[in-house]
Amino acid sequence: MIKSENICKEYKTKYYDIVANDNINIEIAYGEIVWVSGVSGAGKSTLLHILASIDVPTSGHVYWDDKEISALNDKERSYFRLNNIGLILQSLELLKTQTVFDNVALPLRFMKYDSQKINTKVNNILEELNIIDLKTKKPEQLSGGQKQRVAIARALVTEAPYILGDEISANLDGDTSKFIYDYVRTAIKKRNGIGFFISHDEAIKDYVDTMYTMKDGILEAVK
Amino acid sequence: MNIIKLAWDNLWYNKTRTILNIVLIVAAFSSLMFISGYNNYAEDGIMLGITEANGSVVIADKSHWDVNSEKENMLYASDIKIISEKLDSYDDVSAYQKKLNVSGIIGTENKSKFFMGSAYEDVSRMLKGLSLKEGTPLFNDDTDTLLLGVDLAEYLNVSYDEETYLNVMADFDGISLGSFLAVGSVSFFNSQADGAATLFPLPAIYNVFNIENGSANNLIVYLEDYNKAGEIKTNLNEYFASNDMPYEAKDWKDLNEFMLSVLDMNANNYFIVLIILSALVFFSIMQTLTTNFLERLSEFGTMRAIGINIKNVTLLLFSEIILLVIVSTVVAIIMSYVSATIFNNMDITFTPPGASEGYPFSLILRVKDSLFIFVWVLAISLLAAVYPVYKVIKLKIIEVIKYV
Repeated sequence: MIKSENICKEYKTKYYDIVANDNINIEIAYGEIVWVSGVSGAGKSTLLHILASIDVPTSGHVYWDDKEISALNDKERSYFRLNNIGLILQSLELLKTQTVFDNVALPLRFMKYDSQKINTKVNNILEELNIIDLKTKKPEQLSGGQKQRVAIARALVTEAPYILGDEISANLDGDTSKFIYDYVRTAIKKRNGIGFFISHDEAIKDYVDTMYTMKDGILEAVK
Repeated sequence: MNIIKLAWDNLWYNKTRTILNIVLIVAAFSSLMFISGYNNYAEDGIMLGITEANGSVVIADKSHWDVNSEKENMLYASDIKIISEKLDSYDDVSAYQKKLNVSGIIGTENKSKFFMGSAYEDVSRMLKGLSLKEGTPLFNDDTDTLLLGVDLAEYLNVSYDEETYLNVMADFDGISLGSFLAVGSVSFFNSQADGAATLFPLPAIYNVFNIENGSANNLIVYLEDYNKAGEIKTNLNEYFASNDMPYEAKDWKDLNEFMLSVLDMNANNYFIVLIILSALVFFSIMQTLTTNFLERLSEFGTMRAIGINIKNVTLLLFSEIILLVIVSTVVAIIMSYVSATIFNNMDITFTPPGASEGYPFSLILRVKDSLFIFVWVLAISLLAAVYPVYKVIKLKIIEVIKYV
C-alpha cells in the first residue's frame, strides 16, 4: 500500500511562492493501478517524486506499507527503493557508459543476484519487450523509443511491487504504447503490485483501475 | 566488483576526458618527481663531493683539532697501527688512508709562490674527484712527483713537455727543502685552490723531506654509507676515551660547517619550491576533477533514484579516482625515469659560483619520492570527489538528477 496524508509541496522563489501539491491524500492498494492526468505544471510529477521518495514534501506524510518514508534514514530508503520500487522517469536517463544489458542488469547487480540469474532475468525481459537485439548497444546508439523500452525493462526487471512512471509512453508510437501499457499492467497484476502513472496519453485509461486528475496542485478522483 | 567494472567503463567511455585527466596528473606527478630528483642531486652531490674525497670520518691526534695548540702532534706509524686495528673491526668502513699536510713556498729559479698542499697514501682516489688538465696523473708509489693547481702551474710557467723540477720549502719541525717533478696540473673546481694547491703522493713527501715513514697528520676514513658517520665517530671517540688514547675522530659534518649551512639553504629552497609546486598541483587537480564530477552529477542522481546508496556512489567515484591515479602514476613513473635517464646522459654541466669548472648535472629519482608523490596525488584526487559527494548527499535526489 502507498498512502499519503495531507501532502503539501511549496517552492519558494524570489518573487512568489508556488504550491505544487496542496493537501493531497491518496491511498493505493496492492493490485491497483492509478493514472493521474492533468495539464503541465499541475504538480503531477512532484507528487510522483514525493511518493517515490526522491523528493520530500513541505508537510504531510508518505507511507510505504506501514513505514513512513521520513522515518527511514537514507540507507533504508535506498534499500527500499532498490528492492521495492521500479521508477520510470523521463529525466532518469540510462547510464551512457553501460550497454543495454548492463543498464537493465544494474539494479540486480546491486541487489547481489548471481550472474546466472541476472542473465536469465535480463534476457527474458529484453526478449519480452522486443529489444533483445539491442542488448550489446550503448544508449547513444538507440532511438528515443528504444531507450524508453530499456528504461521500462530496468524498472520492471527487479519485480518490484511498486511501479511508478512519468509519461512511460513518451517517444513510443501508438501500437507500441499499447503494447507497453499492456505489458506493464500484466506485470503489475501478476506480482499483485501497485502502479502509479502520470500521463497525457488518454490511451492509458484502458489499462488502469483508478483515475485522478490534478489541477493547481489539487488531486481529484475521476468518477 | 560491480563498482570496479562501472568505474572502469566510465573511464573507458569518456576517453577524451580520461586522457586529459591522465595528462594533467602525469604532468603534476612528473614535475614533483623532477624537483625531488634535482634536490636529491644537489644534496647528494654536496655530501658525496665532501665524503668521497675527504672521507666521512677523520681521525687525528687531539692537538690537531685544537686551534690554540702551539704544536700539532702527528700520527706516527705506531699510532696508525692502533687506530687501524680498531677501524678494521667495522663492517661499514670501506677504506682509510693517511693524509699529510704540506705548506710553504714553491717555485722555479724565476718565480715562487706560497702554496698549500696535501699528500695522500691513496692519491689516485683523490684524483677521481678532480679534473686533470695537462700532463699525467700521480701514482701511489711515485717518490718525487707532484700535481699543481691549474692556475698555480700557469703562474709558475710550468711546461710538461720537458722535465720541470720545482723547489719546495716546507716546515716539518724546521725548514726542509726539496725538489719535485711537476707531472701535471689539475682543476680543484675552485679558483682559490687552483691558484695555490698542490697534490703529492705520500711516499714523495717521506722520500724528499726525509720524514718518518708512515707518519701523517690524520687518517681519513671512508664509509659504505656516509649517513653512518656520526655513529662511527661516537663509537670511535668512546673507544679512544675508554682506552686513554690521545686521538679524536670528527665526522664530515664537524669539519664542513659551511657546507652544512649550504645544505640547509638548499633544503629551505627546496621546501619553498615544493610548497609552491604542491599548491599548484593541488589546485589544478582539485579544480579539474571536481568540475568533471560535478558535470556528471545527474548520472549519480539516476543511480540514487534506482536505489543505489550513497556509500556505493561514493565507492564508485573513489574507484574511478584510484584507477585514474594508478594508471597515471605508472605512466608518470615510466616517463620520469626515461626522461631522467635521457637527461642524465646529455652530459649537461652546472658551474656553481666560485667554481672553476662545471659539475655534471643530473636528476636522482628515488622510490620513496615516487611513493610520497603517489600518496599526495591520490589524496588530492580523492579530495576532489568530496564536494560532488557532498552535493549528492545534501541535495534531494530529484535535484541531483536535474543538476546542471
